[in-house]
Amino acid sequence: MNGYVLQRLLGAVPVLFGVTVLAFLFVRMIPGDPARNIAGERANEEILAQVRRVHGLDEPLPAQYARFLGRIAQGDLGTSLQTNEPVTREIAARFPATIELTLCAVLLATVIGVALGIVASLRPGSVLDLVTMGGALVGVSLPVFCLGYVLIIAVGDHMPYAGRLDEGLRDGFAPRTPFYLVEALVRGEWAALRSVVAHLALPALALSTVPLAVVARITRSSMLEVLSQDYVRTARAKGLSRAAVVLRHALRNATIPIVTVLGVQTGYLLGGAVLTETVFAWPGLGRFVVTAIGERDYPAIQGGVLLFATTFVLVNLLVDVLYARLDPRVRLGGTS
Amino acid sequence: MTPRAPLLPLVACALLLAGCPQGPSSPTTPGPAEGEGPSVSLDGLTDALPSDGEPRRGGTLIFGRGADTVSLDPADVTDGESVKAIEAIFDTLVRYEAGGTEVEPALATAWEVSDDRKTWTFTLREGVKFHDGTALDADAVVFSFERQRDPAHEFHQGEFVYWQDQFSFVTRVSKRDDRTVVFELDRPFVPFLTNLAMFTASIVSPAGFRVAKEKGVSPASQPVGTGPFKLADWRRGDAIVLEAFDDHWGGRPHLDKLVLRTIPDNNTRFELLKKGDLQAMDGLNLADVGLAAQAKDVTVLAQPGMNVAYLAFNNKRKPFDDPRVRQACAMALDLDRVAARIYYGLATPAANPLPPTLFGHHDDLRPRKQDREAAKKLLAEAGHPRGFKTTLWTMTNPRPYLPQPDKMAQYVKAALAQIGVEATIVPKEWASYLEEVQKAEHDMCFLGWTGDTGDPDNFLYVLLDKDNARVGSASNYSFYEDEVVHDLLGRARIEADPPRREALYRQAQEKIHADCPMVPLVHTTQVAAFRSKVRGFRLHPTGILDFRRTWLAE
Repeated sequence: MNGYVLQRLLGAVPVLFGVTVLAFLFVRMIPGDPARNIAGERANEEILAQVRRVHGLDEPLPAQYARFLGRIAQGDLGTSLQTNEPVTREIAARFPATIELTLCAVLLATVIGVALGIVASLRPGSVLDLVTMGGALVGVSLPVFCLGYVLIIAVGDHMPYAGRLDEGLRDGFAPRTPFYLVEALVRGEWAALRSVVAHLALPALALSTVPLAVVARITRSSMLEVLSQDYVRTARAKGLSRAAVVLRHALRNATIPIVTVLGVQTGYLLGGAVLTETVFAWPGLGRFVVTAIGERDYPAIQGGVLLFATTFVLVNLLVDVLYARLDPRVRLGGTS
Repeated sequence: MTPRAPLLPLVACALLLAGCPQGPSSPTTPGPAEGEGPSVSLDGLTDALPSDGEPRRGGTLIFGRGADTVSLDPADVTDGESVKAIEAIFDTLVRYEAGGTEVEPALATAWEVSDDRKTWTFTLREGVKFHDGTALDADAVVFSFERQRDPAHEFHQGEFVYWQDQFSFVTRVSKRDDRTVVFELDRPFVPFLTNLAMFTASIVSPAGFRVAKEKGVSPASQPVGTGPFKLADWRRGDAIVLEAFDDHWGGRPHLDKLVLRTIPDNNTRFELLKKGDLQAMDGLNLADVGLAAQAKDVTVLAQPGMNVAYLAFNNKRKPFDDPRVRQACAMALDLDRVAARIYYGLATPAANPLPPTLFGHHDDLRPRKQDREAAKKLLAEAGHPRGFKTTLWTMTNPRPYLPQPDKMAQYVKAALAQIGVEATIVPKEWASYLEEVQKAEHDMCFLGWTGDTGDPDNFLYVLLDKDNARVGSASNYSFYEDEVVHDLLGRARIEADPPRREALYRQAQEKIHADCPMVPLVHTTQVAAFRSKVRGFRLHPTGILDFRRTWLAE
């Protein structure tokens, strides 16, 4: 198992190397001059030349790339052209917010999605099934900004819908890490925890609709397949309760496609949920990277892309490890 | 498909969500289509909140805005969102009077200028403290300017765009004694004193820079000034928390805390204000201003903005090298309609590039009246009896002076079609727009300008002097190179006598109006909304947010 993980991690190195090349080249292929964006409307040619010199934008591309790669080796993603802060610091300030939001959304999607999927699969073609799957279709199709506004208008008077924590609670809580949810839990700060959860609720709900709907549909079809198998009939025949059959025997075998979908969805969401972050003023990473693209902030875009790629690789690895846990037939490591 | 097509989804997201760094204006709610815009009446809207009654000390004011601050190094920022925080944290030697652009003493209590107007001597205020407890002295002032001017300075880290733009004529800043600082200029430059009131001339604590250096952090994230508020916390992408500075020389602000929160979406921000989670905001959707004015417990402030949106003709290219063609195109437009329909009444039709609130504005000039027949006649005289084909470049991102660039482009295209000019709209994303129009390959393009200093030089010289019409690095996007205007603007820069200076600017504006190198379209109205319990705040033409005397009523 450990050998497998190590092997996979090593295998990710060429992938990420490829990502650095693509990220580096792609950002430079977008029309637009970062120096112009930094220096603003009033900059003259001398200022632009100076900006390019200061940030090494006047060097030949191979030299720039070599510097980029050399820095990555030291855990340095360069300096943001816009803010003059290290990109690692900019990302570190925002990624935790994205992680907490994503995990909450995925949790909602899993719990509700799986439950709905099971319910629908038990009576295929019934009204319940039609309603659930119809709802799932709406969930997949509903744009987040639309749902977001609906939520704000419907329950916004009673729920917070912007930011991560009540401004009035900040001084008392004084978070020491950017992981508010975890920190409030660990420190037992219940008032802060309530506020953090309340602030998470609407954005997480809005963000969860797409994965929730996907999970519900996959769960249903996967369950339908499993429920028609012989061993399920056997389990029923030997007199097990219906709940035991469904939850212990069928669900476990239906999980693999669900985990696959969840993995992919989590990967997407960790890339920053730009629309949700915008509607709910959530200070996450997605908006930062989109702004960086608009500003042609090369190091910030490269750093963001590299982080997303790494996240995806890691999530995929986690999914594969989970397969082995869920299905004893799956052997990790290949050669047997 | 253009080669750029694969990027469009990204670009669209960026446009939709990021807005522009200079102004929060995410266009998530499209307004009514052209022709049905509800015009907002500005009657009854003032530019100041009431300041009657005994100020109440304490409380937190949360101000919602569209984007976060980029940097808190006052000498090295160019975006409006950074300036909002900088103005609270720092002071300048002189500052703008409340509600106007005349300067008054701040960190300097007195100043004098030599007869040749090339040496300025400033006397510093006694007993001023920085947030780190160190005292303001001549060394700090010299440090604040020399680090921008001298490339060999230990803390010359940054681009210092404004220094090159506004202070490049300063040859040396030196200390005469602890309370006296001398600026030496290589030529007389009248707007110098006004420029000193700009955020870029903020006085920073040298000790603050050294501490930051020792800690290995950027001074731009740990600013130390003498201003009414000090930085308590900066949560990137989320909020800047400022606390009252007890030892401010002008007296402690009434508020305990001022929080600048980033709420990127205009609709969400407005909802938060109505709910009471925010006490103030800017960046209302134009279409929401009327709603805000009627909302319960909300007060809307409005003031003519110090800006201009314009349609530049490329004077270097045919057929726009002929003034008759330019005048004809100008006569195709109805600026009243533009102001009413595209800006929902939150703009004033422009006669000059200079906003009417500024010194030197020529009040007798009027926008050209819409007259299609006369326009067609002019075109025929210029040799285009059947009109011509041309291009109209526009940015796709909203700008503070042009919140709906697409609608504006469609209107102008339709209006020009009426006189036989067939314009193809060429949309470009903002990040590459400036670069491309500087190459002078456009026929017509939209642009605008927001003034920094309130000096006419900051508009006319920047936008229309031939010095700034160099292809590749222009700010005169009309590429208008008129010797008479160049001479007038150059003389006005060094003319110390206000009436004579004003006369020079009037002459320049008359010549510009006649030549019609561009069509000044509108001056956009500056709008902000507050909870009604906020007291003691006034809009400033430069967009400065001054919360020194603001308080929250019960």
